[in-house]
Amino acid sequence: MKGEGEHILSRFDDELEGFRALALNMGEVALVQVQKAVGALTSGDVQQAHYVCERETSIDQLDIEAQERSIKLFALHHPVARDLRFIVAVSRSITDLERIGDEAEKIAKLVIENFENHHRFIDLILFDAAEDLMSVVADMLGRSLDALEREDVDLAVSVIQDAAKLDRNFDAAMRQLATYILEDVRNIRVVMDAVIVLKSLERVGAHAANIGENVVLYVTGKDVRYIKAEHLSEGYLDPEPA
Amino acid sequence: MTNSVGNVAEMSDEVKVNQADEASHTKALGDRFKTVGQVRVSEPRMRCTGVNVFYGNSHAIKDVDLDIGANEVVAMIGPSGCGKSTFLRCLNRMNDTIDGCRVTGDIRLDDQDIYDKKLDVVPLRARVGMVFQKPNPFPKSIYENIAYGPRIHGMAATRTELDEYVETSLRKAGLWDEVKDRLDKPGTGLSGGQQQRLCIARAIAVSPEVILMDEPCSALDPIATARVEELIDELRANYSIGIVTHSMQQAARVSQRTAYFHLGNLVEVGETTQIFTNPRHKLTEDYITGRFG
Repeated sequence: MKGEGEHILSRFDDELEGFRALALNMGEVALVQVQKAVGALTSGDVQQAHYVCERETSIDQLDIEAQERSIKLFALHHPVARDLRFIVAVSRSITDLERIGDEAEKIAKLVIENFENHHRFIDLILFDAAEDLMSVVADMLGRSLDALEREDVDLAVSVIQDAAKLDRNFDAAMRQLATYILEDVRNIRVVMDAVIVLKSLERVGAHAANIGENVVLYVTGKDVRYIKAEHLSEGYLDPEPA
Repeated sequence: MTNSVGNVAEMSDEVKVNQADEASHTKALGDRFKTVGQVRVSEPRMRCTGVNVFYGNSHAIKDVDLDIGANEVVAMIGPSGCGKSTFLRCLNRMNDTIDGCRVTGDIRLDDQDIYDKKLDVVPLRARVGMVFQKPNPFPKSIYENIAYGPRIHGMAATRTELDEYVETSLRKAGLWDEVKDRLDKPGTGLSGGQQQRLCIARAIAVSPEVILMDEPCSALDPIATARVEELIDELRANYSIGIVTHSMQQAARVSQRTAYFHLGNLVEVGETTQIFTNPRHKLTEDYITGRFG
């Protein structure tokens, strides 16, 4: 484990690091999936969309492998304290990454539905909003994975706090989309597609924030899922006095 | 101070000799290991304050404060040689039997100083009973193993009363149904797990207030261990229990509070759940996670 003494049973340390590496690998795959899905949307690249759908199974396989590893760690090593929190945090993060993969697949299927099956072209309105949101959530996801790798609480907190800003950006985008329907009711189809895409990306950001919360739990032992993000910088995470 | 179990032990003057020097020496050493967590409880059954133990010149227990509350199990964990068994033995003055062992500080049972010169250590050891690592039934019948304590303490006037003590104690120890038809058979003829439960019944028979257990399951198989742990959980309703164990999983299973000892210092004490999910001292975390820096 980073920054800690070595476990007497070195195999345990190796297995913990292997578990973290699996999560980070899964995170990279999930991040690329999101980027490729949005790329397929903005470029109309149906083949890329198919690739995203096919690659989703690799995320599912990693999820299955992760569950097997976590069960083995619990059963064979009876982890406590920091090790226990680590396994719980990484297990939860893997669930979040699997859901991110699902969101990417959802976007890819929408691309296929529009471009291949209905030969409909998604309005450019959607592209800009999707790309903007995608860059925000990709950055959040990348930072949350860095926080997991480096056990960086400050970085994790920054991702959690960015989720609140993401919510505001998403709400603003929804309001803008509503105006397109008011302008011309025939826009409703493209706006619905836009809502699906933007909602998926908002979910990716939320899952990235969850990973940040998991890192905080692991490093500090504090569950911050229901604490307002702004309070996390106000000494809430400071160690309790002895 | 004498070395014989059962004799009235006088507080030797040498125990108090140089107490002030020992205390300042202890504080200097103990600064590094200021105990983390709550050593005190609101209604202690036993209260230890500034306890030091010396084996000759070797300082085995350093300035320990710790309460044992009513109806709770306190587990004491730590590496070999950390002093947890030495500390446990302070609580019923079993260290009096060890040559060269000196105890200083204040230890109270229901607010009574157990190291008071006037205190008779024999009834003390009935009130604060002990169960050892290796089951040690008397070389007597099962019945006599239990009856011996109430008899010598004058707790039973008639055979009927003695029978009642025996049955009640064996029932409380979960052993009655297994042995009721062979009470005249030797206690040493029982299995290891049964012998240990017989020893627990023997301790219960003299109506203790506190039961001390020094690695009570070390010599037992997993099934016998589980039965003893179940018994500990049941006994908590009526007694306070202090248990020394090398098994952290056992400490996690049976106790409400856990105390971690390291090189004679009480490093951390807290609710068992907190100790095993989020210990506050790095030494505690290193030990329970199997890392030693």
